[in-house]
Amino acid sequence: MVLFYSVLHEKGGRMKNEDSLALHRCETRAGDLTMALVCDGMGGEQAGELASGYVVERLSVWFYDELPESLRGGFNRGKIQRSLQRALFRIHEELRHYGHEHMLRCGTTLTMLLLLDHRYISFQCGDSMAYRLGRAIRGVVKSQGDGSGLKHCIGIGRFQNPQMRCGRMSGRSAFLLLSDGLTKKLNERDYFSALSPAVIKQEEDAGRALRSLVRIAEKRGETDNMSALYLRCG
Amino acid sequence: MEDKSIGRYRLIRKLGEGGQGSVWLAEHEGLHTFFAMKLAYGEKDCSERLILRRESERMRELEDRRIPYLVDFFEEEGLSALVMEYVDGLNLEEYLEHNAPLSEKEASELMLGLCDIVACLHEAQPPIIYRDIKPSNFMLSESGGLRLLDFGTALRESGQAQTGGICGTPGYAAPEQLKGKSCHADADVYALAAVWSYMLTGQDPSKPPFHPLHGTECGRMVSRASRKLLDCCLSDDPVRRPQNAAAFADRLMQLRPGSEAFFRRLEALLYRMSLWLLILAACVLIFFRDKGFPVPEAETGLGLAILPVLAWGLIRDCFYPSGSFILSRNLNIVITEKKGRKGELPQSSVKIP
Repeated sequence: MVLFYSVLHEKGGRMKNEDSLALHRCETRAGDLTMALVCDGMGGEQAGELASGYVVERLSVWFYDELPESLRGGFNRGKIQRSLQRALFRIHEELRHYGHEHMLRCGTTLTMLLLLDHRYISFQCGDSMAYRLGRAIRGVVKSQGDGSGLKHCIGIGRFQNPQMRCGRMSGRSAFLLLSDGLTKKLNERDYFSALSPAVIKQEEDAGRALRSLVRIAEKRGETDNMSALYLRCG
Repeated sequence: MEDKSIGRYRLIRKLGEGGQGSVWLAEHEGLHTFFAMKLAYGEKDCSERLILRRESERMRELEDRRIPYLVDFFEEEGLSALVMEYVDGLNLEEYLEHNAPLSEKEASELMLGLCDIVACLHEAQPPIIYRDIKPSNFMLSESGGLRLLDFGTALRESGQAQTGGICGTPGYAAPEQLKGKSCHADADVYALAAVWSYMLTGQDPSKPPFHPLHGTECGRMVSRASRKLLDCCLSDDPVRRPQNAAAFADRLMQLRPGSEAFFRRLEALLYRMSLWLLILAACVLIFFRDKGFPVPEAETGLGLAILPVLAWGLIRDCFYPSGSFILSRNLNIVITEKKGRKGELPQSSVKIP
């Protein structure tokens, strides 16, 4: 279960923040259930914050209304995956039609983490990242950006199923979800030295460490929006 | 031809022939094990041999017991050979020829099996589009399981997947596929639905007039929910279809008696019936009282009418746990700069350029 968390939502050098975040936690009949979500409205696209905010709000509704149906009868990652795919497909189509009607391109990346007791499932669409920090740091999603721009995202182009990865947590571990503002100029070593579970003992430490990452990124010339979610589990 | 050997394999008998070559039952000379061998003849870079090479690549990427495993692939002067697991059993086409139309329950069970196999292709990263789903490509093995054969037309989808020419079987292939447009996982859903239509109606879509019967043409032998789903999956507009085989399987599961959605529908129906019963009981009581007949106490009548509602509550509790699945909400954070009502897209706040 999640012991504590910290959230970062910085504009960076931009006029507005196109990133959106969500963190929901509830107690269910199947155990403690948490959803963390980071969406990065596509840089350079019009109304990026509209797309990222819409996805976050709709998936928050999905978390409370539809996800429990997939968990009845026990943990079944196939059912969870299908339920999320259906929800994302609907959102994608709505955003695409909205963009078409208003002559806009509303797109967003998505990185989602679901925690149920000692299991986790990550979903990934675009170039936002998620890491698991324990004795070492390990990516729990695979970045789909290749430096030449996104191949696909939610709301623009053809819908692609999000990448899914599953795993089990053991001992003390933490999860870090990042928008691309914090991934372009920083690397895994920076994250681990600042946010390793051995260093972070309480919520304030996590907040300070996230802000220090922002400062390092800015020193290295990052001007994009920067958003992060840190979850400490135990 | 019976004694011919290719590589270390002795050809026993021909199993079938397709557009890209022939399939043989072959025996490994060292292991004395039987395999299926697919042969394509021609120049080194002719389309038949390239297709066979691509098929071997697809099969190598797939690890599922319901898909025959790849044993060997080799090329010799003038031919390419793909050696794979030999699946003995009955072809689904032969099975349907003798048994269709199937009962709705049997058709649904069989379809769930087909959807499960195709779903494992669609859930690969990037998804694999099979593009030639038809009964003859499925085998009912001796152990009772279903197997999917022939990956000659399978395509890895990467962005907007182009078909690379028209492929598929008329009657089963989706309309956009037959027009040579790019096709996606929903094209496989169309073909699966065409197989389902064949199972339910007994009319083979690959025979004239070369189109599967839609739900509206099925008549009352098929339930309304199944007809509705069939119409949705056989829609000419790909957006209306379930997006992939897993989504189709989910919709099929909801139609099964015993599923939670089924109980919900039954529950709603019984509640409606109870309400009508209550109104009817009240009307009968009023009618008899006005005519001067001795009537039971009003409480007794109402109690009798409410009885089905209470009984159903008890039955429902026996079948699945009632009450909310979520016990308490502990954290609820949403941070965004999006303006307007939550969960809705604004209609006027964004300027149209």
